[in-house]
Amino acid sequence: MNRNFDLKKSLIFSFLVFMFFSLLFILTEKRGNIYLAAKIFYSFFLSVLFLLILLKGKISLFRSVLFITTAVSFIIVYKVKLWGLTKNFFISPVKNSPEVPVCHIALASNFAITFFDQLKAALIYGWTQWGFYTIGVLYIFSTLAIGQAFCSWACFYGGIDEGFSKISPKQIIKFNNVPKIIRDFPVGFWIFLMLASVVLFEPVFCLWICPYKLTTAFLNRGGLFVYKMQILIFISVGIIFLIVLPLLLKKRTFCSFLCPFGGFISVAGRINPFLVYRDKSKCEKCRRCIEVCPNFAITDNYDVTSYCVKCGKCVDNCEKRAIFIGIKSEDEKIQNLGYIIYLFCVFLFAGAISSFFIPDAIVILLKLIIIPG
Amino acid sequence: MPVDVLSGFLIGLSSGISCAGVCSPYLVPFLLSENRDIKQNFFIILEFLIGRLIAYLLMGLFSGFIGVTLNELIISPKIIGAVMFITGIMLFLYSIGITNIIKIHFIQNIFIRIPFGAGLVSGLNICPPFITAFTYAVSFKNIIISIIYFLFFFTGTSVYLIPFIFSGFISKYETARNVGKISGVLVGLFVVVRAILFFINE
Repeated sequence: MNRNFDLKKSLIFSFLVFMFFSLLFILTEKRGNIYLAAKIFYSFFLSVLFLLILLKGKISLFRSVLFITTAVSFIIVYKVKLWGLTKNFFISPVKNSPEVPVCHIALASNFAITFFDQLKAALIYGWTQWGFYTIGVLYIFSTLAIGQAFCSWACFYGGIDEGFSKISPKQIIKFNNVPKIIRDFPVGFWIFLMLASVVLFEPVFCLWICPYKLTTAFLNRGGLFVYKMQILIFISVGIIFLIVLPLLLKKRTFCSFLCPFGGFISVAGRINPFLVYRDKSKCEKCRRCIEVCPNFAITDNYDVTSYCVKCGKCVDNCEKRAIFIGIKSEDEKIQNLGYIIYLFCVFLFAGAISSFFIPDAIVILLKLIIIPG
Repeated sequence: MPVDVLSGFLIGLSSGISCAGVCSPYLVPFLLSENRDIKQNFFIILEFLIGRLIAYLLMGLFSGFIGVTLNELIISPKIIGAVMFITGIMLFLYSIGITNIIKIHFIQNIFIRIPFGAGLVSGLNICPPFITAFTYAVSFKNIIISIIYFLFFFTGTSVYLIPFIFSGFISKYETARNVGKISGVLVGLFVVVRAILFFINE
């Protein structure tokens, strides 16, 4: 499979990306010129990243740039909103949250009660009010379009543990494989959370475990003691799974071992046509792919499991070019076509999701720099 | 009166989805955790339903007794808490594979009876449909009719548990069995914590 495109083709493809997003933003952005300018700049940023992916033939490095920028921008945008609404920058106030974003992790872990709530709303107010259609269609579209790649391209939290996993130049603790039952934990945990949320009729993961709640706001079900306990748990889980373990192992440990959405998508994402696969005749079994995989998704037998998030790191690091990403085929033409279709799908999807945060973060930072001056 | 008694079935049928939601935490991990076929899963669900039936018949008896005597006879929360605690511990121990560690026939036999105990606990679970049925049954002021009413209520709610038999299709995969064990451990701990909170709040 040819992953390096010549300059002419790369420019044409990246120009298409630029035009797609620019036109989309010109048609949809109504908040003023500064936001439109930020979005046009963002379209240029995306097209440059796409150009570099095609020219260099390296997916993961430039994906990481977009992914980590998205996470940082997400935190900036929501922290500023939190400050604007509560004058509290770090954590949400004791008496309930001002705003919690529609979060894919929450939807996966509370799937049953979300469905039940929406069904009740539909029965009372009519089927046109059924928000579940929107969420359901988005889920189906996302799963069909990019599958598990959502976790390495479009998740607006994922860049946090990925960012920390990139700080250390070398893996401090060599730990590249885990027993299958431990790797299966997120799926069991997801099932448990769905069942527990039905019994208690509240979002158990969001209330008691999710460290990402520190980046936005969270609900408080009790008094000051409960509030302090929630913060203590969020900080502890965050320090262990988002900072310390990623730093030591150079892996995305929250996504690999705790994220309920990771559990959900490893099951649902199997219907997606894009795969990471290995050419056994070229593979020299050097273990490089196992070592670099950030999600413990490649087994000791070099099998790529359904926990693979299609980040492209193993593809980039395989010196023998024995690992492919795209549509599985023996035919090189289909491989090449599958590869470019995959890149377009993930890039357009990730670009659309990130457009909610990166341009707004640019505007916020510009206002912070320019207005005080 | 017959129409009123039959309404137990309709109340069960209409609220059965939420009943299935309450019962599934006890049932799903057990069904997934071992490689069983549909027939074996059928017998597990049957045992679970027998446990639930006994709990409901007891409730029918109590509600009828309250209706007749107009005395407040309420099952002590301590009993419910204790049953929950024991079931939680058993589910936890079963999921970590205690029957593979302790190969004593008597102990293995106890753990085989988990579905029955889980059915009993889920039958004693006080949820809104259950309270509705209980209030209705009290109004009959007749022990036999109250028991029959709860029998119909049980039948209506049990319809939603039938699809769980087919979980045997996926339990042949190692990942599904691992998922069953993991969720079993977590549900076991969850039930134990709820039982402890039950005692604290009582």
